[in-house]
Amino acid sequence: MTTKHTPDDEACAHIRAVLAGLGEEEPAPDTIAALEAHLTGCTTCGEAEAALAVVIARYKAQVPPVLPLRLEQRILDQICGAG
Amino acid sequence: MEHPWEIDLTVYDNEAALLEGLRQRDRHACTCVLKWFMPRLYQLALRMTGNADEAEDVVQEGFIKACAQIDRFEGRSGLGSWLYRIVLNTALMHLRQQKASDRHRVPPTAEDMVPAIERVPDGADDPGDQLLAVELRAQIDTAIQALPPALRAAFVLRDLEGLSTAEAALALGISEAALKVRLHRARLALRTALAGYLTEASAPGTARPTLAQGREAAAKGESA
Repeated sequence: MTTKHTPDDEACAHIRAVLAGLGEEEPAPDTIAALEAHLTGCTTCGEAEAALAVVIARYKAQVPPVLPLRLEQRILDQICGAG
Repeated sequence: MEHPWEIDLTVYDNEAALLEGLRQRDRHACTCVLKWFMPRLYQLALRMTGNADEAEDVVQEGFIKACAQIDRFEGRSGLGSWLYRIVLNTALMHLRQQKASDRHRVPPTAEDMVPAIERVPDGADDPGDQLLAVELRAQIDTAIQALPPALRAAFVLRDLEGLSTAEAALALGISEAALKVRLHRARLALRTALAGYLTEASAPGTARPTLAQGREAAAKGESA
């Protein structure tokens, strides 16, 4: 079951605060469970992530990086000796 | 002197032959590996470091490590996957060392990536659309590079590189639950940084914010 909140809904704001306040260590299991329960069920948060996904999809569609030829030569010289 | 682009890439038509060539430090074999795998590995390194010069160093170091450890390659995964993990670990090590040793470093900007990435707008004919596309990409580059390394790695692997949650978690040596949390944190930070652009992107046909409005919204840190 999904729940529609307004963006300023207390639950969404609380989840954002929890996420923003986490440190580098792995969160406690109950924290993870609470986050997952909200994020998988909340349509507001889902829509916000979907909006980001649209932008990221465009970003990913950019032309792949052009490889500098000197890099290939540098690596070959390092591995195989100067040719 | 033989140039890499003159080498016949059809010499090694399967991975076993290529591996044997690598063990022998054969220049043709090494060139084939570079031709086949370096584009994706360089892109990974560039996304992780956000800097073309650092990405080159990471890829070079990764390839040298791989060649030094080639006898440890057991073939359980493909050669490309094995190289990917080595370059990823090299990039992570690079970021950790950077974080530990360089607190005064100015965060990389989108301009650091410009020489390496050809910024082609999304087929937009309108100069204004093109400018917005270029500006948006620059903003995304900057926002990604502003993420702490752990969050950046989760985002790059899952959302840019397209790894599954399990694959990304395995690559980073964390649980899937922890990976998901890091990913949500990264996305939240990006949503905040890119708030001014998300409305336009997610709602085609609605009034598009100007670049100035986008910058203003991003500066205010409006939530999406």
